[in-house]
Amino acid sequence: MEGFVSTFTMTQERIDGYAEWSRDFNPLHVNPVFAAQSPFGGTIAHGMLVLGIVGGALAANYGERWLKGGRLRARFREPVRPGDVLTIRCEPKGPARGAADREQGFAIIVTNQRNVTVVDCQGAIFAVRV
Amino acid sequence: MKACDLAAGQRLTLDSLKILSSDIERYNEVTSAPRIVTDGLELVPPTLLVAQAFWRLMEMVELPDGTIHLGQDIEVLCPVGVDQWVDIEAVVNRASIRQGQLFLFIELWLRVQEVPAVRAVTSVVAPGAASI
Repeated sequence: MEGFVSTFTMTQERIDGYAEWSRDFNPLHVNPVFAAQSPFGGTIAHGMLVLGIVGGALAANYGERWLKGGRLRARFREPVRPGDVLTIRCEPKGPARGAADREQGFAIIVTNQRNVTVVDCQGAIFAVRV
Repeated sequence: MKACDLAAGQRLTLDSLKILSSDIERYNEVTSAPRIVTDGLELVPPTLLVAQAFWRLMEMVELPDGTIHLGQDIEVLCPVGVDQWVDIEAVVNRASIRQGQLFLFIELWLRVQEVPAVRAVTSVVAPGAASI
């Protein structure tokens, strides 16, 4: 298993598109006036949108090994804002205890253009093609 | 149902869902994810399934504006293909109030024909717990 690095630019258009798809119209995401008065000072992306992008990167790099038996434990550390340029870095790690034959572990760090970690993940995929 | 009415150990049966190929197409557009077809079956991204299951939960449980997603665990136990009916059960792992905010940890079980397909744990914090 090899790691990967992907980059992605968040836009308000994409946040709005995700809100329509998911029907999650939390004003923190889609209402600039409401969001400006929040502690965030502006709109932020849905956590599940950011995680969907991470999942998309996993699917692009590992295909069905992710979709058929992946695990992911994600923590949202900082908000992702429109205009943020995200870098997704995935590095292989050892397998989970007791699962050496079945899966390959990995760690993912998602940083923004200021090199601030916005999401960190631990996870695993099948170690062999299924 | 209001979020503050949830109690640890509570189980909720949510509306079942069926993901169509068009749903995946739209999802993949916003997440820049590729379409994965294996053995002639288009697979549903697990993050999509969890997002849809969470939406079903929100149809039942009212969360206030300003609710923040803290973390998300996802475990794929069995792949899910398009056009398969998925049953969803939510279990409240933890519901607690700290500094006026409601912290919820909710486990989602997605099953296809009673076979566990995806397990997810969603953690959120909702503001203004006293008034939720």
